[in-house]
This record gives sequence, structure tokens and C-alpha cells, in this order.
Amino acid sequence: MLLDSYDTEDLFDEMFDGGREVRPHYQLLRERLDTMSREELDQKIKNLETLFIRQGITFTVYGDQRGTERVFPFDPIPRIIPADEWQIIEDGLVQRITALNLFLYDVYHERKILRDKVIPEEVVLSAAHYRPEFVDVDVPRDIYIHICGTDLIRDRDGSYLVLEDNGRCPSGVSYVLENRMAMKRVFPNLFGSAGVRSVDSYAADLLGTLQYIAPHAKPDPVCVLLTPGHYNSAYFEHSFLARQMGIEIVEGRDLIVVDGYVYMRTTRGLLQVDVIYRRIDDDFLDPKVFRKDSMLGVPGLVEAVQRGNVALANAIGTGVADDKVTYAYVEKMIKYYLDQDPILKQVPTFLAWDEKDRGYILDHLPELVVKAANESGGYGMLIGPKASKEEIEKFRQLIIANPRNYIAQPVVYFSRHPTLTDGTVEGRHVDLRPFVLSGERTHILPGGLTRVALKKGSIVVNSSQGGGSKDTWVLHPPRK
Amino acid sequence: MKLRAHHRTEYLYSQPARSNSNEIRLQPPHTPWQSRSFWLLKVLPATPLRHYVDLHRNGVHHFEIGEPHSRLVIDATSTVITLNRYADGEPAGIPFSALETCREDAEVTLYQKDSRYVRIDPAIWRAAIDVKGESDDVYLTAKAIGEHLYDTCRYVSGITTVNTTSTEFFQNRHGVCQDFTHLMLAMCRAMDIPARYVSGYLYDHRRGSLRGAHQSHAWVEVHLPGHGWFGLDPTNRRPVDDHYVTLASGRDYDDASPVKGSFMGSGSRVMNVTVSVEEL
Repeated sequence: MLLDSYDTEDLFDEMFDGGREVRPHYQLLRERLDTMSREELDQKIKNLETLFIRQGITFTVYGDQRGTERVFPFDPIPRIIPADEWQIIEDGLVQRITALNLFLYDVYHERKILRDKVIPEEVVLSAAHYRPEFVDVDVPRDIYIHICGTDLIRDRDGSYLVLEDNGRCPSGVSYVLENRMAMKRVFPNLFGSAGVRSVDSYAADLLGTLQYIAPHAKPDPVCVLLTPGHYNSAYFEHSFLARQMGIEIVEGRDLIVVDGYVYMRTTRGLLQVDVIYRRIDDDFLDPKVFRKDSMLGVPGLVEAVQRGNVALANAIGTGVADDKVTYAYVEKMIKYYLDQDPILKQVPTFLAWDEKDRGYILDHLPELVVKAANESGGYGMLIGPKASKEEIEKFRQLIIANPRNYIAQPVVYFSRHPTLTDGTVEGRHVDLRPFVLSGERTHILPGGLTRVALKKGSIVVNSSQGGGSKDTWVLHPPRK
Repeated sequence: MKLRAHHRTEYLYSQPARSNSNEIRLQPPHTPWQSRSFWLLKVLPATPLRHYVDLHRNGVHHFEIGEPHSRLVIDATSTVITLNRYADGEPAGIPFSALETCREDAEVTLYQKDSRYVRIDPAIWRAAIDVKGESDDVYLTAKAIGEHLYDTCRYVSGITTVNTTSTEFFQNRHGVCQDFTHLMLAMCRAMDIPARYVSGYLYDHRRGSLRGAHQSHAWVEVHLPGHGWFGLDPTNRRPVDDHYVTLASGRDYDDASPVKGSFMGSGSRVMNVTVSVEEL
């Protein structure tokens, strides 16, 4: 019915295999979708939209003259990941985050990996987010990235590849939780006995992670979430997570540093804060140390962190690990610190910083995807095959002027997934952002955010650039 | 059984340590009754790891931290799927005469001799003879030795050290799993039964009912010609089934200890170890 005329166009599709047969883990979903009429489905989609607007699940698009808050578009056909595939993802992510955290420790301490020339020293020291202020500063439990959102895509043969690590302030987890809640309300019949793993424990696991890093292992620490405020694109998420964890959401002006300790202003006076889940970039955290014009930060906060009186999640300076040039070396890090081969592969990367690679990049711009090393959210990117001559020229000049800031990769493939469009179902490209928590142990939320490029043929899945999302189901292992 | 183990060893040094060199035997090997699906070793301060395979086919990881440091953390996580070695019953029925071939097998006869902590002295030999009695069954004799130790020795920590020999434990009879294992090895070897030391984890499904479940554990494996190695746990009077995760084996603790190292430094050292095993 709904899916009868669906065409995979011979691309790797999540739901259908090469012979256009439905994959076994989608069989139950297909049967259930087939029992629904288009009218019924349309009605349910209306219900979903109302639900999202009422919940206030919105984001803001920067650089848009209308400056509007929008509802994050949602596609009701869920993406399903079977247990054995998920196990590989989970193992690979645990391995990767462990290596990244060891790398950050090393970079801010003995720098063995640089001295052993496994990674060129200048790559790290020239990274925009490297923070020399934190050399030889110990962070609680030696963990730097507590919350990581790692973007995965699937290659033409279906294997999962890491596209990038987001180890600063990754966002999107609130959509995972809200999408699931909405799906359960509107499509209870789809879940039935499908064996979908719950995502309910995320807030508790996140709070547990924050409490674990309290300075001096203090019991019952005071944790807060620091937001830039309600103009920020992810403000909805900040308030959502604070509410779910039952902790205060604060802005910079709500905190004050006295004698190297951080306090929150409350109606009953000052209350000492032990752990800050900060959703503000390093640059804006403390006008005394980083950007002087920051109105969002807390003067003196950096000193309080250096003295070990307050813990930040994520730690300051993690940007050196998710820099797109550093990315090219993560497989070497895994080998170096863990003596293992990477479980998840990544995309081959050319570094404009390297003279030989740069020559190749400049000669092949129309075939490559060029990314700025320190941008995220799909900004500062050139997709060679789809770019105009002027755009290519502009990037050529940018790369020559500042080679350290650019990398290039072959055009990667994104798998497709059946997605509702006006009146029909068509394949749209998707990625996956699982969320990894590193505390006493490493928790990985089963699933993560599946982002879908709603424009036909597009591979830009970012919400700011016309992407939507899907509920992501990780299945329990089949019972023996 | 699918088991996940987390083993964390932390050393705190009162004065900074230097040239800290360590060998780690914490990687569960693949055996016919155990497969490893995930394994990760994390060392802080961050340092490059290397590995090799030793004489006893253990996967060994090693590293050295040259710079002064006041803390060392060795954190291993593993997920294994275990099968019950005794699913088809106990391997009884093998006579002592079958052991004669072992002398010619270099890989087996290694485990019939004295080693650093396992000494076949006359008193131990006599005790083993008494337990064996008239039996001509290798497996049942080894099992009886284990049960005899369970009945006659007391499980007490803090009396013995990592350097206690089988002879010392034989005399005072108070010790931990390592001592039970060393003495059982000595008694088995006195009877010519090839026996090796195994270090690993024990999953305690009824929390608190088993000894050695919240630390690294040790037990004995005996070699039965034509059948291979079978595990017996004298500390708990149990055959080694799918509740056990093997990490390393050898002649005694010296070959199979999970973490072994040396450092330069003048101060004292405190060690904290936590082991947790859960069923997935």
C-alpha cells in the first residue's frame, strides 16, 4: 500500500535490501504501516505536529532574516537498528570516546603522542580550540568529554562510518526523547511487540555522569545547567534537560565566583555549585580569560575550574579533539593508546595543512567536500559536485589563505530511508547521531538522533539547513 | 552466559613514581568454551600500549610511564560469552596410567613440576596420597583434593601475601583463593597430574554466596589426556562452569598475575582494586 510504489533506485536503503525485499527487522513495521490508510496517517501526522508545537519543541535558524523559531520537522516512519548492528556501533563508540579522552589528557599533560610524532605537534598547538591555560591542570576523574554526539553515516555497503565527533556541546538529545514520546502517543500500535529498547534512562544517566565528576568525589553535589539564554537555538533542549534531571537552569548572571568558588544566587542566598553542565562554548565562559565581550559567561569561572573547585561538563579545551584536522588522526590514537584496531571506520580525509594533500585538494575541488576545521552545523562547507564555479573559486582562495582551517573528503554516501513526502513515500538520505556519556562507566543511549535530509537528493541533514528527524529504534536481541 | 566484567586497579603513590613499567594480563582469551566479544584497556596517565603473547599463550599488554606521577589507573572492561565445560557431565574414567604420555608433551609436562610458589614437598605428597586413597581416577582424585582443601582450610584474607608458597599455606591453612589454588596445584602435581594456575573472574549470581567474586579470582585447571583442561575451584568447592571468565594461566601466580610491575620511587604505595561482573 503506502510502500508499494517505493523505489530504492538501487541505493543502499535502510528498509529494503538490494533485491527490494523488506529487511527482516523492518518486517513488522511494514505490516503495521500497511494496515493504515493514507487518511489515517495524515490525521496522525497532524496530531504529531500539534503535539510538538504545544510542547514548544523548536529551534532557531541563524542567518535567517525572518529569525523565526521553527518546529523541527519530524518524519513518522521510524528508523530501525537490529541488536547485532547496534552492538558494533556501541563497541566502536566506547573504544573511540575512550581514545579521545586519553588523547585530551595526554595533550594537556605529557604530550606523549606528539613527542612520539604519531600526531604532528603543530596540528594540536594550532587548533582554534586548544587551550594552553589548561596544560597541567587536572580535571576530575581525568574525563574531558562527558557528553559526546558522534555522527555516523552508512557506506554504500551498509557499514557504519564516523563522519565527525562532537565533543564540545553536542545538541539534539532532547529530540530523541521527545520524538519517542510523541511516537508512542500517536502510533501506539506500531510499538506493540516490536521489542524497542527504551530511551527513558538518559536523564538519569546524564545526572549520574555529572555527579560522578564532582570535585573531590563530594556526595550530593549541586549540579546546574548553564545556558546562554532563550535566544540560543538549543534553548528548548537546555530547559528540557534541566527539567528532566531536576536541576537548576542558570544563565551567567545567576552565578558568581567568590574566592575561587562558584555560587548560585538563590532566594535564600548563595549556594555553592559543584558541577556545571555548560551549554556555552569555551570562548564565552569567562570574560576574564576568553572573549572579553562575553555577556554570557561568569567572571572568574576559569580560575575556579583550574583550582579544582568546580567541574565543567564538557571540560574546557575539548575542541582540540573534535577539530576536523584531528579527526584524521583518531584511528592512530586508538592504535596508540589502546593497542587496538578501530571498530568503526571513518571517512578518508585530506588535510589542506599538508602540502601534498593541499595540492590534491586544489586540483580536485569539484569532486570533494571541503569543510572548515572548526565549524559545525553544516556551516562553512563546500560540496564540490553541487557548487557553482564562483563558490569553488571562493573556497580555493579561502584554503590558500588559511590551509590549517580546511579539510577535504570524497563525497560520502548517506544511506536512504523511506520518508513521507507530499502524497507519497520516497527515499531520503539519513545519518545517525548517537549520544555517549562518559562517567563512572560509558553509557550509550540506544539509538540517537536520526536526521533526514528532507530535500530530494540532498545530503545536508542539519536542522538549520532543511533537515528533519526520525524516531530511532534499537531492537532488543532476539530471544533464543 | 554473556558476562561483562569491569576491573579497575588504582595505585596512589605518596611520593611521585617514575619508570613505572607494567605487564597486564587482563585480556580474556578465546577458548572452546569462552569467546571474547569486547575488550578495552585504559591506562592513565595516558601512554602507548603494546602487546605480545607469552609462553603460556596469554595476551600480555605492557607499558612504561617514565615521567613522575602520583597515580596510576588500569581499567579493563570485557564482554565474554561463556559455555559450561561440564555440560556433558564430569570427565571421570581416566586412569592414572593415561598420564604417562604427558611427560613427552613439553606443553603439558611444564605443569607437572615445581614452580616458584608451588613446591612438591614430602608432607604435601603424603597428604595427596591420603586423599587419593585407592582411586585410580585422575579427575575424581583432583576433585577430591579440591574438596579436601575446602574442608580443611579457612578462607581468611590478610594472613598470607602474594609471596606465600604452597608449603607455608599447607602449614597454617588460612589464606585466600591464590593460596588454595597453589596448594591444590602442589598436591595434584605430587600425584603427577598436570595442573595449572588460572586467574580470572567469577560471576556470583546470588550475590555474596561465593568467595572471590568481587576481586580477581584464581582456580586450578587439570589436564586430562585426550580431553583437555578442566577447571576446579577449591576455594568454592565448585567445578569451573560458565560462571567463570578466564584471563590468564601459567605455572602459578607469578606467570598469571593480572597486573605486575615495578617502579622507582621512595614513598609508599596504596592499591585499590574493584571488580564487578554482571550478566547481560
